[in-house]
Amino acid sequence: MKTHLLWLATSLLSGPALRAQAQTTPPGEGTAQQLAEALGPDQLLSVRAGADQRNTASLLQNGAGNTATLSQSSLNLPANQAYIAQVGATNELNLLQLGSANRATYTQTGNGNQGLLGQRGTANTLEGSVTGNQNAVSLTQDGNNNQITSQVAADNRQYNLSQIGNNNSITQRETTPSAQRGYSIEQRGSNMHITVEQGRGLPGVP
Amino acid sequence: MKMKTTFAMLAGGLLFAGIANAQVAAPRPSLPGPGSLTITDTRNPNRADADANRSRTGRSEDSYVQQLGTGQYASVIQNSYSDTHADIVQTANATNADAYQEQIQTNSTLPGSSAYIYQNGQRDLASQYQNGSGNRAVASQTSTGFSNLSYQEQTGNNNAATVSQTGIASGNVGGNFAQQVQQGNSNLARTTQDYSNAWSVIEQRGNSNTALVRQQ
Repeated sequence: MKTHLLWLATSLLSGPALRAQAQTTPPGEGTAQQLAEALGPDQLLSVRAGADQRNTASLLQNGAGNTATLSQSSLNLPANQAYIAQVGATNELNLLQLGSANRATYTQTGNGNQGLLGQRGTANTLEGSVTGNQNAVSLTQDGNNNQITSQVAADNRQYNLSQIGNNNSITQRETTPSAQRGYSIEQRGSNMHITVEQGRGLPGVP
Repeated sequence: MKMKTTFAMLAGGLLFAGIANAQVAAPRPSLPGPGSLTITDTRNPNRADADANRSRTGRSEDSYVQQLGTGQYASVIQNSYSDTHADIVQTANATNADAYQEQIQTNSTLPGSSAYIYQNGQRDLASQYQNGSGNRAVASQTSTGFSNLSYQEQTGNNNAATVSQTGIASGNVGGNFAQQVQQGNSNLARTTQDYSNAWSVIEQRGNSNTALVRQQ
């Protein structure tokens, strides 16, 4: 667990690694820009005047061999939120959120992608889906009252979930026929909840 | 609280749902940006234009604009063979300052261009647009800056875009916004934001791109 977070922190500092080829069709064209357009400076200013003091990062990468690294910390500030979408092959995603009540939503669509996402703190939420073959994802939460909700589709992936702390929960839905590369869920603490659904179809996934 | 929830849903929903858009990623004097944001000199009585710096055959063009005080407007447009350089520095409490840089590279085999904007104030706007390869764009908004906006748009390969919104904490800090849009391969987008209520939007299309976001 600590090794995961340490590795993640090291990765965030050391920068990108993966490169590759191939490309797929994006499901959501221009989404990040649309987000910015929808927000616009006027809305941003009005939000700033409100009570919401969270940091927000939204990221869209469409292509192959891309790397995304996000680091958000709010040890003395309100929570952070991250929205990430990667579409294509052999992309890499690194996310680290420190603090409480952080929220991360991610999707990876394509083959050969890697994701390493970690949250440390209380009442954090990690939610996302990975669709494609040969993907590897590691989700780690360290703290109490955290929640992971994930969906996995396609073959031969490596998927590792880890929660350390109390009152944590994991909900996992899979349509993966096989998982030759490994699959593990680890929870340590008390009052833990875990739900795994296997063999059920995911929305939009044949 | 309601606004917080609504806004979070809006942000997440838009990112993953996809809705039509029409405006450019980085606002230009003639084209609106996100949220119909425009760059004008209407709020900026002190303006500097370097549009005359255009050249289709020249190289190594260099432009430097420095403005002190509030309400500044600076626009630098370089349409050149390659290897241009532009600086805009707006300091001395440059509140409500607008800065725009445009660099169009007509020969992608030669060294790229660089654009640098530094703003030290509040409610400042920095917009940079580069077309070509090997370009560098840096927007730095600092001091007690808050409610600053930074937009960067790059088309081509091996480009790098950097936004730094930092400064010394004093009163109502934070609330900065940065957007970076890149089209091409092997590009780098990097955003660093300090303090709360910061927004980062990155969109990259192409292969072997890298995005780095640090919010703290």
